[in-house]
Amino acid sequence: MRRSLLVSPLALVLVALAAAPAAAGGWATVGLDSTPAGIVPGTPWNVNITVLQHGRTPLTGITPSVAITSGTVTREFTAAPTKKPGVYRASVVFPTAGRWSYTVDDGFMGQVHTYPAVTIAAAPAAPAAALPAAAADDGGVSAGWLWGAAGALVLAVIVLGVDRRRRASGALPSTPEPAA
Amino acid sequence: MTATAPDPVATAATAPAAQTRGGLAVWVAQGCGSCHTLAAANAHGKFGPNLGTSLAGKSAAAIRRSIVEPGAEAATGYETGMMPDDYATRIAPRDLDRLVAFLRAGAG
Repeated sequence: MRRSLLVSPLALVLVALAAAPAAAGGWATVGLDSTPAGIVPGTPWNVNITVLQHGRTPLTGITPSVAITSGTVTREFTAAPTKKPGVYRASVVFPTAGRWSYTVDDGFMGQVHTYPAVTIAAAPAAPAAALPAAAADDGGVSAGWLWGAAGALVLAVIVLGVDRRRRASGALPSTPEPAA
Repeated sequence: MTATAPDPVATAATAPAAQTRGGLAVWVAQGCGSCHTLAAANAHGKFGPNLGTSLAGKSAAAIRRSIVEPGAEAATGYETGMMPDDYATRIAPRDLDRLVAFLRAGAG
C-alpha cells in the first residue's frame, strides 16, 4: 500500500515532465516572408524568418537555420537577428538548378519546420534575366513576353489587311514615271 | 528531411491555381505548418490537428471560421485555446481568401 502511494506521485511527475515541452511553451511557429520560387542558382534568397513562441510571442536570442537538400547535397545557412524582435534573416543560395527541399530549424527547441519542395530553374538567358517580372515568376512564360508577341501579331495582321485592300482597290500609288 | 511534397498547385483541383499558390504563400508566412500536418504543404506539425483530414469536406465558410475563431469548435482529440485567435487581424482579407482556397484544395 505504501509502495503504491509512492509510485503514484512519481508517475504523475514523470508524465508531467514528458508533457512539459508542449505544455510549458516548448514550441514555436516559424513563418517565412517569401519562398524560393523564382530564385535561380547562385542568387541569394534573402528570407525573413519570424519565430513566435506559441505562435504569439516573438522569440529572441535564438539562432534559426535554413537547410536545403537536393539528392545527397545539403547546405545549411544560419540566420542572423534583425532589429525586429523574433525576426531573423538568412541568405540562402541554391548552388545548382533542380528540385530542392528546404527546412528551418527554429533554434529554439530544435523543431524542424518543413515546406513544399521547390524547383530551382537554371538562370535564364541574358535578355530574360533583365526582366524582373520573369525572375519573380514561378518559371512559366512571362506575361509581358506573351503580350508583346500578341501585339506584334495583331499589328502584322492589320498591316497585311490594309495592304491587301489597297491592292484590291487599285489605290496603291504607282511609281511615277520619270519625266522625259 | 529530404521528403518532397506533391506540387500544391497540381493538387488544386477546385481552386484557381494562382489563388492556391497565393494561399501557400500565406500558409508559409503564417507558419501554419509548424503546428499542422498538411500533405499539400509538406507540413508535418503535430501540435494541432491534421488539416488534411479535419478540414476534408468542410465549406469555405467553416474553414475561414476555424482560422479566425479557433476557439469556436475544437477538432476531435484537440482542445481549444492553443491556436492564436488573432488571425483575423494578422491576415489581410484577400490573403485569408487565398489561404482558405488553398486549404480546401489541399484537404481530403
